[in-house]
This record gives sequence, structure tokens and C-alpha cells, in this order.
Amino acid sequence: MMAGITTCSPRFIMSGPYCPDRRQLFALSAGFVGMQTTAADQKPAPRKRYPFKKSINLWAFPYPEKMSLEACMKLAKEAGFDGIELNYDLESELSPKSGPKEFAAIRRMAEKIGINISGMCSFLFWPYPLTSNDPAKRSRGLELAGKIAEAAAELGTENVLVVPGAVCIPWRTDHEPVRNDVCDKRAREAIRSLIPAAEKLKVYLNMENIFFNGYLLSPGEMNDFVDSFKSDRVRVHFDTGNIMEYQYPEHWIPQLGGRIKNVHLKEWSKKGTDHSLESFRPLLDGTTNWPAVLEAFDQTGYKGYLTFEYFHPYMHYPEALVHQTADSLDRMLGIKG
Amino acid sequence: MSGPYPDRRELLASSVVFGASALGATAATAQPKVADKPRKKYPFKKSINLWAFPYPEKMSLETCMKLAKEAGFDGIELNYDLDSELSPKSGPKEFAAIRRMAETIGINVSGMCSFLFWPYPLTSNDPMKRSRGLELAGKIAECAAELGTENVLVVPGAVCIPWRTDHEPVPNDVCDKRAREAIKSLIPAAEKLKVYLNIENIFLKF
Repeated sequence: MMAGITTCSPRFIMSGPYCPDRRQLFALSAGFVGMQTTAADQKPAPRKRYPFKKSINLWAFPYPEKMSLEACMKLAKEAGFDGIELNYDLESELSPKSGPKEFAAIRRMAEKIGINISGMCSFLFWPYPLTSNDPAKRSRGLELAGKIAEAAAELGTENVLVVPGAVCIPWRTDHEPVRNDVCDKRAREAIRSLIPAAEKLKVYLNMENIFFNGYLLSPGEMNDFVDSFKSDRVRVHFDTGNIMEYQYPEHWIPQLGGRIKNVHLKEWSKKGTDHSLESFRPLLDGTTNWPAVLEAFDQTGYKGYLTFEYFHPYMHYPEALVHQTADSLDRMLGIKG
Repeated sequence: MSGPYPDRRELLASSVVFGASALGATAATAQPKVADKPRKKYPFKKSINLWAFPYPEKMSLETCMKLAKEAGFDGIELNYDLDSELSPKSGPKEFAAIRRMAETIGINVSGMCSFLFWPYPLTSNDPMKRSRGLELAGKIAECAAELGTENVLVVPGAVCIPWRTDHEPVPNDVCDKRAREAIKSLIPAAEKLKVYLNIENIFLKF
């Protein structure tokens, strides 16, 4: 456990999702106690108001096929999102094809629309895993991770999602399995080598719990991994849905605690039998214990973004998913209802 | 003496043998008529679990052991439950009889397994189930010793048990703490009985 992460060290006040001031925390918890008394009076209890910020990942939009980046940002803003999470690839305007000038223009566009960029994601960790048996793929992965970090800094977000490694990648036929201990060793080397750039760029390398990659399968393993770097720059991007097949996000969150720097809300149903990206569902249409999950985040003091991640933009009326998600989040956070 | 690993000299000897046969294989493939490479001979012993037999519905324990022996198995793995002759219903006398039966047939009992770790997980939120689980694990260990096998399979804990509806999920850290306590408390009996507590990897999910 790193000192200074769960406590309010000044270094996190400006940049982190943590460290609400103590008075705010007390006010919230006092309010909660008050509500319980109201419930005893048979009146419907007003929902607890959570301080998390709402965000949605660009994969939920038909981008770039049917909507431009500008149109996506405008729709997210219109639906009431505080932020939008962007994805780095090899083709779009969020790729190595863009440089500081292009990223600055995107940042200005977001500022003008009035929406924050809550973080940078990428699927590139799958074709170029940081732990691949192929040294060329490993070094390409490292190079791309560096580019993603630069793009994040230029876009004005401090959140860089990183997949530290993969023993297996079930959906790819070109990935040679990597032994667990070798995967672990390579992942540690890779992340260590990325820290200096992250420090310089003032971004955080947030390790995502994937589960399907056969690596960092429990909160204890994730904590050991993250703590091993003894660097504030290495944190966790916690995904609620990835571990749902055999585990529970409300168990992970208290154990990860202040290491959590960014969050994906993914919905999953334990009733399903399909285990693919199709298993993930629109928010609230699954078996996640959302009240417990939100309360667990709040107990850690988290105040950052909750970003809905979904991989199939609706074929028709794609804006519906964006509005539905915003509506669900408003109810979950106690803004509505 | 007791483990499944040989001493160093044995290891060296077997690698020399393997080295020689591998060279021979290379020579064989050089011939125009491609002969099959002699397959490497591994030293493992063959065993089969009793769940692969229609026991007890259609075959008695004796029939199962005889079938396994006839098919060439070195050992058979038995399963402890609450109903059969491999359960708390049997005592030292009954287990000694089963052991003698296996010896007569000429098959080893390679280990003891059990499904009882699922209804009575060592990490259950219910203290009654935990203590019942511990008690049963102790009985399985005794049974193993009496049957002449030193192998006791143990499921140390469970965060979730997907196929049971009565299992309350256990947070990972709590599961880990309880599992460590449970196994620690089983060690003295294992030492006394000269059996091994073999922790099984289950994945679903600990």
C-alpha cells in the first residue's frame, strides 16, 4: 500500500479523483444518516447524491462511420455527460496520424462544446501486447503506449488506460500464449519503462483489470502489481464488468481503494451463457449490484469519472443509447428520481 | 521417499536414456522409409477417478476397481461423500476392508477427492458451514490414511460457486484470510496422519 494515496496528500488534490475535503465527506455521510430516519417515516427515501462525474466512451457512438467526433461530443454534452472518453487507434484522427497541432484542435473543440475528455483508451494493447513473445510487437506496444500518453497530455486528460499484459487473448488467433511468470516479468519491465514519460507528461498510467487476459485476476494481485512500482503515476482503471463472470466489483473496490484513478462501468448479466463482448449490456440491464458498487466507490472517497463503456453503438437511433445511459446514470447518482 | 519427484540420480539417468533414444530417433528419420519416432517414455502412473464409473448405481466399488485394474490402471482415485461406503458412515474397520480389497485386486488408491467442499466451503460466510467443512476435511484425511493413500485433495475456498444457488459470495480478501486459517488448522492432523493436503486450482474463482 502506498502512503499518500488513500489519505489526502496535497499532490492529489489538484489532479486526482480523490480527496474531497473532509467536511464534504462528513456532510454526505450525515445526509445519509438523515435519509434513513426519513425512511422510517414511511416516506420514499430520497436517493443518495453521489459526487461522481458522468462520462461515456466513444465506442458507444457510431464513430467514425455515421458521426463525426464533433457530433459525438455534442451529443454527449446534450445528454448531460460531464466527459467523454476517447480511443486511440491507427487510422482515425486519434492516431499516430495526428500530431500536437491536431490534438490541440480537438482539445479546443471539446472546450468549446463544454465537455471534458475523461481519459484515453485503446484496443492497440491487443495486437501489440506489452508482454508478447514477439519482441517487435512488445516494442511497438511500448511505442504506442507512449504515443497514447502524449495524445492524452495534448488532449488535456491525465488518464491513460493501460493493459499491462496478456497470458491469453481469447478473441485473437494470432496471439501465442505467454507463461504467467514471463507475462508478469515483462509487464513489470514495460510499465517501469513508461513511468518517466508519464511523469514528464503529468499523466497517470491506469492498469485495467481485464480478466479475459488471464493476468492480474484478483484484487490482491492487482494491488501487488501496482504497488511494486512505488510510483504515484501507476494506478488502476477499474472496470466493473470484466470480472463479473466469477467475481464481484463491490468486493474489488474496497480492496483497490485509493489506487482507483478511473472507472469503466460495464454491465454484465450472470444469467447469460455467452462469454464474448456481446455479454456486456446497456447499463442497468444486468446483474451488477449497482447500489453496492456506487456505495463502495463512495466509501473509498472516489470523486472521478464513471465512464460507461459499450461496444455496439445502436444500429438505428444511436443517440438513444447515449440518452438512456445518461438517464440511468442520473438515477444511479441521485441526480434524478 | 514419499513425494512424486525422484532423486537427482534417477533424474540424470532418465535424461541420459532419453538423450540416447532421441539421437536414435534422428538417425531413424534419416532413413528413406520414415519410421515412427519412438515416443518418449514418461514415468507417470495412470489413475482414474471413481466419478468416471456408474458408481454406486450400476457398479460396486469392487467392480470399479477390478475394471480399472483390467484396463491397466496403476491406481484409482476415490471420492468421499455423505452417503456411500466412502463417507462418515464408514469407520476404520470398513476403510481397512476397502484397502484390503484394493490390495487383493492389485490396484492402488491414488488419492481422496470430494464434492463436499462445495456445500461446506472452508471460507463460507456461515460459520456452521465452515466448521462442518473443516470437520469433513479432517474425516477425509483420516479416511485417506486408513485407505493407504497420502493424497487428500482440498478446495481451500470459494469467492463464488457458479453452480450453487445457496452460496453467498465471499469478498476475495476475506476468502483468502479464511482459507489460510482453515488450511493452517488442518496441518497438525495431516502431519499426524502422514497425508498431504493438496490444494486444487479451481479457477471459478479463488
